[in-house]
Amino acid sequence: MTTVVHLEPALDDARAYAAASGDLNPIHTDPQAAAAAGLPGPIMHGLWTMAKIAQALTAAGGHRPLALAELRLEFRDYVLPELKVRVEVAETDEAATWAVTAEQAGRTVVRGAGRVAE
Amino acid sequence: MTDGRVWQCIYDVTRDGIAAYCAATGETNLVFTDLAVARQTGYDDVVAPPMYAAVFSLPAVQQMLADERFDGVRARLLHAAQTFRWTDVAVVAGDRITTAATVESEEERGPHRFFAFRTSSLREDGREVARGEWLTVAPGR
Repeated sequence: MTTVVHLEPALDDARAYAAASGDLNPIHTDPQAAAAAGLPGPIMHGLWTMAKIAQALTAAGGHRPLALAELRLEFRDYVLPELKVRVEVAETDEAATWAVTAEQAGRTVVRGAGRVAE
Repeated sequence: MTDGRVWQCIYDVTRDGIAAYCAATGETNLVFTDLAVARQTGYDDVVAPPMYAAVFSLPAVQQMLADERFDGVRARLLHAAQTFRWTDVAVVAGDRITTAATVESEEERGPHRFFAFRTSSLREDGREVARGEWLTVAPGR
């Protein structure tokens, strides 16, 4: 089985995530700080994107709160706010293991794998 | 860098904290957002979503990064990879979570410097709830 989820990250999400998570690095919320760090603009927290992927895998695991046993992701490129992200989670030959990819504007931004508790 | 030093933090999980996190991440699973549903499902209080592990373990990582040996790179660090492994122990509002963070490795790859950290988070009863492997990079200029 393969599930596709479309994310619509927004700068407001990054601000809300910063406040809720305590990750207040200004590269996620402040264009000037992002530019000073050599970034094209504020970038989403990798852990926000990971939370969205965890939601997709928890749903694949029957929505059980403790469905997720492991999630291993590489943040390969920036996720920018205001551009859609296509997340695909696909069952693999390995039991209860799902391959994860996320793309934004033709760039692969996340790759990894998740394992759902049986 | 990998001198075995451990940074510890304590994080008190609250309903408001979980609610703010669920709002920020667009969480719709009612066991994480609705007390009545969580109780009907057999939990004492609203359950923390799995990736809330990144929230209750972050203060230990932040304390570690405040160490003077990260002075030259702290402002440039980007998140390169993350792994979490969860046990079958739930975290609910009202729990107090203790996290220990350690530096696992420091490595130069071309112009980039990679730092790997580990975290382990325990509930008050001593049972482990999650382990994290954090990889950050200070990109070369």
